[in-house]
Amino acid sequence: MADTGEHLETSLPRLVDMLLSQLDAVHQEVLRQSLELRRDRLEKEQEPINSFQASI
Amino acid sequence: MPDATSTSDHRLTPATHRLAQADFDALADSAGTLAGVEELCLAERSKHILMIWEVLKSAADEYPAAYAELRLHAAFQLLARAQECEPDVVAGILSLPGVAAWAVACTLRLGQADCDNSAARADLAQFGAIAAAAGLLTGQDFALPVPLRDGRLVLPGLGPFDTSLSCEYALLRHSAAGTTLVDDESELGLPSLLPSREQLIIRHAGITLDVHFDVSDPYLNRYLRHPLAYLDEAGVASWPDRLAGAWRILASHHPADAAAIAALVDTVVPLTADRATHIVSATSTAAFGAIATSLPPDDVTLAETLVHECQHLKLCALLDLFPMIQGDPEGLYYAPWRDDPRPIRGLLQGACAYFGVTRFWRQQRYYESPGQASRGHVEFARRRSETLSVTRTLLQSGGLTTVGVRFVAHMHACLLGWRHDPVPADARRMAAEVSTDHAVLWRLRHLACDPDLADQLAKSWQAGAHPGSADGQLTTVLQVSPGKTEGDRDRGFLLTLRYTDPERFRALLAEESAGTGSLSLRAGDLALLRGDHTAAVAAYRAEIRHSDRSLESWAGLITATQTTEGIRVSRTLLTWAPLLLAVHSRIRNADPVELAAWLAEGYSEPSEWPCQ
Repeated sequence: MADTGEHLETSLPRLVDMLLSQLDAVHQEVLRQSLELRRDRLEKEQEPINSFQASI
Repeated sequence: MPDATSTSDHRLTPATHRLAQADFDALADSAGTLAGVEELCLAERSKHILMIWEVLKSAADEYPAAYAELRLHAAFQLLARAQECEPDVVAGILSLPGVAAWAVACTLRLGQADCDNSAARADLAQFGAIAAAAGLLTGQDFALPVPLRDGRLVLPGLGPFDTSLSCEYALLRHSAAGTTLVDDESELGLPSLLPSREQLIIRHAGITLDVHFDVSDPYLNRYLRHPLAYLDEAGVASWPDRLAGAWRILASHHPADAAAIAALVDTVVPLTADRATHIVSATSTAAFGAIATSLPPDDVTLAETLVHECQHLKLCALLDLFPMIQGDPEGLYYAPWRDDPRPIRGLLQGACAYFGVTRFWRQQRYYESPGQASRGHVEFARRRSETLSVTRTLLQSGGLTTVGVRFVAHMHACLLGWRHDPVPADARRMAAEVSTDHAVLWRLRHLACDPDLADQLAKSWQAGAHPGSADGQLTTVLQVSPGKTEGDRDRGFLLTLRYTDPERFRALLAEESAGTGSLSLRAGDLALLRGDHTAAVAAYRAEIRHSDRSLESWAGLITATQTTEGIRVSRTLLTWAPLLLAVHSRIRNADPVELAAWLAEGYSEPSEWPCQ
């Protein structure tokens, strides 16, 4: 994440703008690095956020 | 391709997601701007695409037989073809929480060193169903293997389709001639219009909620409680009315929250509550766009639940973009909404959710009927105070990144600004009592103080000596103790019921006072619940001195003394509760309030409660 002044930048590739058929041409190292950054969180946060257990 | 540049070796390096600072700040201290919320949705879709790509790459590399047999390459080509025809339709499928949850399950399973081949195969096969859904919705010709679970085919975005087939996999074919499902022995024609997921579209005050109820997607069955097997007749009858009522409240009085919910929530997973008197709701970081909840008892509680869970969804998406936790902190902290000590990650989620709840009640209390207005004031006062305390803890923890500090500081500043919002005195008292009771009980249960200090103080008391002096924080060790028993919840349950359902509270209290009730309450509890604090303190003092030295009695005593004793003794009881309990356990028949008054001679109140 970088703070560029007006925007907060992230490391997540913006894949929504491209066609799926183009994915093979995308720099695969960029994708792998981005996923690795998130894998740790995926593994740690598998439990649901049981957020609200109130008596009624 | 927009926002992408070519590298020298002609591979594409896509641009990355970015968020305007103003949008980030608005997501922290309000429901968020529409631009900010929409960017979160786009970012999550990019994450889903990223995970799908990884799943297919891993499958091709590590499970080539399954990759070929399940025709995953053909499935991907079908998805790509459908996208070229109707990009919005495929965007909708790629954004589905069930697709996200499937991608997370596969990503994690394929990353395991000892991954089970048959389990991996079953998960991978679901990609065929995802692609098939896109193919059906965009009118593509295809033939793909799809998985069946107990004869049921789950097509994301379309819904469950029950068949008579008993096989684990079948071939789904679609062409202008029709749609068929084929296994080794039979060919089953499917109706051209597949059954939809239960869908509700509600419009009010210019804002539209369009959500689906999903009880069939196996990848959304991830909330530790089983979703309702089906929405039975009662469920079908209850949910639309309740949701419509909640939406009227949100769209009329909380339009920014309503707009955020409309943009973020695609799916509601109905849950069964443990008991008829409880409501449960949950969010999963692996299923962006879905929330799970049991049916709340009234419209305003469902509105509050939607705001609460939507806050979690926003934070889950923000955490995918910006790490907010520094490293892997091990500390555990007090969360006013939980009985167990919480890691900083959970504390941050809770603070964000209850910040939204505080904001909701800050407005909503003025729209409640006269009979319910008190509830709104208590909810606002209680959550304002509790969330302020937690945001302070988070900021002092040293466990947040720069972005995390920025996010929490925005919430904290808002809460500070709301401190002077007027709340009727009676509501303030009820809020303080329920918060104090919970906090003290938690501290008594989970904090252990220095045994040598407790020994020394016990000896001083017995010798009639001065306690010595201490300034600053109580040094304690966190001990993660077992949770409450059913009976332990009863006083807290009634303290909450007192403002959420005053009529039922009065009926239950009358039953308990007459000795005909089924709850587990002490004489002190009954007096406290009646509002007779003097009688409550007298009863708790007698109980603690002579018979009942339970944590619950101590917590009840300390809660009641906040209005009956002088500031010095009441604050000493509050601040040094774990130490007083330890000293008292060594001298047994001492009067707890006299013990606190004695300790107050030398032990001053710290400027802040300990973080733990």
